[in-house]
Amino acid sequence: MRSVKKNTDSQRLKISGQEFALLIKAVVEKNVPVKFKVTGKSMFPSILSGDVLTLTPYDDRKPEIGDVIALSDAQNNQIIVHRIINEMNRQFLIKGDNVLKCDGFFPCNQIIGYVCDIERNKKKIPITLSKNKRYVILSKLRVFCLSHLFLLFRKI
Amino acid sequence: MSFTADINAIYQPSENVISKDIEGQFMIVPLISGVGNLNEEIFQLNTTGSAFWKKLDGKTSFGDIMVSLTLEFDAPYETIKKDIIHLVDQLIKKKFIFEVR
Repeated sequence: MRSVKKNTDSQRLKISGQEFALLIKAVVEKNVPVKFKVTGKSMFPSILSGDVLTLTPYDDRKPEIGDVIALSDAQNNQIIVHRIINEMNRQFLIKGDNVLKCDGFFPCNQIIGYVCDIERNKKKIPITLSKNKRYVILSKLRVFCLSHLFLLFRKI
Repeated sequence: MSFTADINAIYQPSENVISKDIEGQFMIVPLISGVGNLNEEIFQLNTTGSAFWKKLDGKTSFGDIMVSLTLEFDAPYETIKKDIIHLVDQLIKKKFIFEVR
């Protein structure tokens, strides 16, 4: 039996992105919340690289616009943690706060769970409904502004 | 205190762990305060350990599992026994399994 422990690199277990995704899914499928560390800048400034997230299954409520959710990216065998920015025909439009391109529309069954807790430097960062809605507006606004800027420059 | 094997003992995985078979090797995530903490500890069983874990159904005795593993791995009984006793000792200490009877 090999173990992995935080800050003990000599014992660190090498887990691929796919294995990590499978483990997250396995835990959430048992209706148990799961804690894991994230890397990347796609959710800046709401989630920073190195933040520890707690993902909870959607058993008590339905997905809503503004929720930060996790879904499995079948192409890259990874877990994506991005935000629901729209809903259409029971499909959810997912996008990172800090990226222009949307991930696409996903049905509810492809969403693993939602982020209920963010831990940064061992301090909890509160997630509020108003904060989530603000990020959705900002995210949409960014796409709108940049796409119009792009069109403007093309005309010039 | 070291673990002494009772061939009639029956073990079962604890409810406080979640295991997942990934390409023939089991990964174990202990639940800490009801949360699976992938940031703290994940355990991976080797091939023999995974085969043992798979057979922990709360019905089959330790002795029967050992015989079954000996046949499966085509290895001497004593070698398998030594490996598995060490593993069971660790699993009990970490409270990943418990004795049913």
